[in-house]
Amino acid sequence: MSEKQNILNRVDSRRTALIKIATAATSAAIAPLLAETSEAEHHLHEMLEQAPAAVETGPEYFSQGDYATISRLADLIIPRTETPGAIDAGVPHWIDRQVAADLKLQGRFKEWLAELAEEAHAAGGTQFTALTEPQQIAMLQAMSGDVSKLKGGFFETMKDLTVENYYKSEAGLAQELGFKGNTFRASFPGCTHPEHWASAEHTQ
Amino acid sequence: MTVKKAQPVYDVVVIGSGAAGGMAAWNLTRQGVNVLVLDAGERFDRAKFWTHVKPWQAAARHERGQYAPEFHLSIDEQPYLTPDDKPFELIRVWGRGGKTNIWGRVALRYSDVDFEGPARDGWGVPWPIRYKDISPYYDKVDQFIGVCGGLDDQDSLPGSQYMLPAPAPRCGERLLQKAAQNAGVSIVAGRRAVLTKPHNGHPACHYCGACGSGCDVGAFFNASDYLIDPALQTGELTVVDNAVVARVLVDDKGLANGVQYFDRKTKAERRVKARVVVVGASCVDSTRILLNSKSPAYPNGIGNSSDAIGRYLCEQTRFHVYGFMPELIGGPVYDDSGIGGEHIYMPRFNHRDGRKRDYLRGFGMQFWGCGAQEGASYAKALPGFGVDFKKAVKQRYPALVALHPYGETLGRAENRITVDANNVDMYGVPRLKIEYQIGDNERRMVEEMYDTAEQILRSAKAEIMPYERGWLDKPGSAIHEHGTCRMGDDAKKSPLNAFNQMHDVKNVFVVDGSAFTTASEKNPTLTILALAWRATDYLAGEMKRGNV
Repeated sequence: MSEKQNILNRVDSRRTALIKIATAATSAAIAPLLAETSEAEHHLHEMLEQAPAAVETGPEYFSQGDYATISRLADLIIPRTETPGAIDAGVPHWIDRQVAADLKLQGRFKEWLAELAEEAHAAGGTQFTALTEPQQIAMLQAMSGDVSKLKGGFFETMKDLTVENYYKSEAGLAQELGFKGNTFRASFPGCTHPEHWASAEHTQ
Repeated sequence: MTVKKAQPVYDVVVIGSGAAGGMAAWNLTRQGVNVLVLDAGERFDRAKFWTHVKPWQAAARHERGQYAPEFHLSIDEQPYLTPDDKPFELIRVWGRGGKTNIWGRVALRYSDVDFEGPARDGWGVPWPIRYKDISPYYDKVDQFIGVCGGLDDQDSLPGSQYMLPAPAPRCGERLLQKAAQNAGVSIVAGRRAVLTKPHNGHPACHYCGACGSGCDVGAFFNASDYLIDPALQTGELTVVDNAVVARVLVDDKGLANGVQYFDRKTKAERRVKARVVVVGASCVDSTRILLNSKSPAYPNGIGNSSDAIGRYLCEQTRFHVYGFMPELIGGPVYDDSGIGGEHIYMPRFNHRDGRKRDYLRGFGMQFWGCGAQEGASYAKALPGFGVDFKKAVKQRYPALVALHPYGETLGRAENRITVDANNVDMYGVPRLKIEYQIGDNERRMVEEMYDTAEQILRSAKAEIMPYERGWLDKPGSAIHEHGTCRMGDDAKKSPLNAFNQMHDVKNVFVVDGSAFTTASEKNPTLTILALAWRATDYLAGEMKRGNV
């Protein structure tokens, strides 16, 4: 087997893992790299290093059922659109790890998940994830609209954790928001819009 | 036969290697003075900084058990005491260069509006110096470390002819400037110690904006690369790392003759001898050392006949208000990293034009965090969830502006640092206790600080993020502690004279933020550098003249 084929094979096997976690856009970004195998290997290695390991390892703290509920909630808060959503960005994985490392949060999540399960029951489902999407959204709307329960409550905590983890992921920060920072630049152009400069001095 | 080597007596021992200690060491060694620097930590290795690690890469590294170099001193290692109802966030960096490794790089000169404050309003003691005394040193510091900025000086913000080019403002900053001007408030170019072109052998900034992780090329001033390294090259400097200083030692005439410290690794006690002691361990730690330096001659701490050491602790009040600029919502996203932090600054203006105010002193405003950031924590404050929420977050991403007013706090005798003999650290040395709270003057000023921030955002027609008026950041969070060993002409009220020399002990100098007579609203580092340079020029002269 030539060196090149060897690398391509490795690339291929890693791609299986990648596809689960990467969006279509990320996968497309890999293609040009394949032309330069050593570079491809290098970049792919880097990307794999950076990718959340959620898919392979599963939840560390939550039961499979609770993990599915957390995932569904994160998905409802930041859904996949033409850009990746919370699930694509590995948000449930990161929430699982954060809760695993925080005893206080564990207690609160236990209560919240039990409460949510009860409410799902009342709404006619065996559990939250068994409800229809409109039912789930209605429940979430009720949670987000209940001012008495909002501060530090389940919805706010889930939203905070989802937002924190999504917008620091490559999917959320670079792909969704378009973050281009933390790179090397020879100069910094600043604001180049004449309309922003009009009618007032730069400084006085 | 073994001969025990006699312990050397250094000309000067300098405690600390940050802006204060680093400057003292550099300025003395280049004048041929033999110096020992005691630093409480080690050198931070630039090659290991996580400067170019993006947030998602950092998360993945954390998962693999890898962490960025820790700059901050752990509270577990060196706990300090505060009363339950008076929290104080003390942030310390022990290691070569101290806090300058990760400082905010805002490099503002004090003006006579600041230096004349106490003489004018009668609160506290007068500064023993005026702008004319320090301005030649500001000029030297600007030229030496490299400060970028505009030629748009004001009475409250003097400048120099030595500025490196100011970086262009980001869109949001530019629009804030315009909106402020329409509201009668002037926002000028920031003054920052960032190299916008190569300077004195240090490379230029590459606009990655990740300065808070430590600069991997040293393109902003840090005392380790800019001061300690060249001082080492003179052959006059010795540095002892991991030296946690406990006390300044005195002879039977009441003069300082050395320093006692503990090795942070082995916990062993060590003593070094010197003819002069320069204290520059940062305001709070220097105060701890001075108060612990008790002897028959100085029962309440060396040089403390005034009982002012530890008192008059000043930090600054500050808060944060955010908004979104309508012109930028939904617009293109740019790389807004720039030099990291703000490119603009609002100088103090409340003293002008006969403006009436019901409080003393003043405030300025900083603007770090305008434009596309490395995250979107503002999203937590936007309502709802789902597709519309996601869209709202994205549309606002390029439009964020951030306003951070900083207000002066008055020195009060009861705001103080003490040491508690019944509560000792791992070396058996009494620990710090900090008692600090703001008063009515600060609260009244905070009202006008909020008014001003609101005025600017309203003038911009910005979408203002919800905030709780009157909220203040935790005391200590500005990391601008001052005043606990203040300068002043009256030895009964101030421990230090106009050259940072102790009135009581002529061979002890204190050259960090503790020496400031007032805190002002400005970031202190540039003034610490200028004062330390001036003080050690005076010290070198006094040593030559045989007076010290």
